[in-house]
Amino acid sequence: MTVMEAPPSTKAEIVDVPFAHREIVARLSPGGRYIDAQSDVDSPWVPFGDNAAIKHLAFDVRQGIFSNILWIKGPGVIGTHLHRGTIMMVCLEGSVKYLEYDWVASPGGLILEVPGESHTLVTDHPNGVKLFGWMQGPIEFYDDQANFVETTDVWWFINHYETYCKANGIPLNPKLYI
Amino acid sequence: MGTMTAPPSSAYKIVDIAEPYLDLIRRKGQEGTYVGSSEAESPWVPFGDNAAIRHLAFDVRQNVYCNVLWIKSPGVIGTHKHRGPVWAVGLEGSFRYLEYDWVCRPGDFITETPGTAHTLVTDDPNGMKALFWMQGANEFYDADGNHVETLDVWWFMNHYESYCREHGLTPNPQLYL
Repeated sequence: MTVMEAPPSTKAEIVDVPFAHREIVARLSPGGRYIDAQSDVDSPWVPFGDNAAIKHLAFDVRQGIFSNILWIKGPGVIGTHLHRGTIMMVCLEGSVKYLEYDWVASPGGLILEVPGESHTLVTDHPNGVKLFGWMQGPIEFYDDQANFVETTDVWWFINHYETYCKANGIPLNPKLYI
Repeated sequence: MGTMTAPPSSAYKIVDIAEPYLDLIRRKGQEGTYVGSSEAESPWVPFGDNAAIRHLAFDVRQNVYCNVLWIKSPGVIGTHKHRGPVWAVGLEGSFRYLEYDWVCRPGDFITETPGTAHTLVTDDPNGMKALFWMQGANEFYDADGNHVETLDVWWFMNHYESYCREHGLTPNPQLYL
């Protein structure tokens, strides 16, 4: 049995793919989309404390999924938190590590986090870090005495985005809501 | 550290839970759904001569579809391959896969994982009913191993909606997550 070893077409041309359910897709799919991150047009940087900001990219309220870029602007810490869902992150700029693990993430590297893990995010890089994340489920935040403070999930992230937009007269971008 | 060993409240009343994002959840959230067992809420849609599917949920964002499969008498659903995960619970009768050594009976729970291909058989005189929760692509092959069609949430929706159209039924919005 042969397997594909290269893309079967390299023609810069739209090929009409046979698919029996196009009409339903057109009617009921939320549709793919592009959210720009180079500018603040699609989504602004929303402060997360003095040294960090979040650029919200997507919210799926049906699955509790949220996607964003976390920017820590200089050396800093995001305190210990516990995940109840699955996290995928890509380091875009700078570097980041967790006090619990022996690796340091650099640009292009992939970070996977699984339910039940708690950890303490640190960037020692002079320019901090930018992290793209695709995250599912609650994250429980603790203070430095291990007192539980708050559970953040898709609603916290939507509220973080919408509160900032309201306060700054920025219209909400419907593209962020899958 | 102590952990809950029983429900922390047995009060027969709605307890007001602190919810800082209540307005947001009301405005942007998706309500859960209820699909009762009557055919008025979701009909049995024929799947060949000896089987029918009762569709229960479609989530187009995750390519998830949930339904009850009913095979009415001893029969086979030919070899198919999953590209996503499946959970199922036996409801009536029994079924098995030619590939495995277990038989799923009412109350039994099974999972199927991406990459597995298998051939569903019921030997029970009354066939089987089971609830399936499936994600992703489901590839069907003919008896000679030729790929025939890849089914996913769109096929299942089309299966439901085509039947509704042909029978003058209004699609039930509770099925659309």
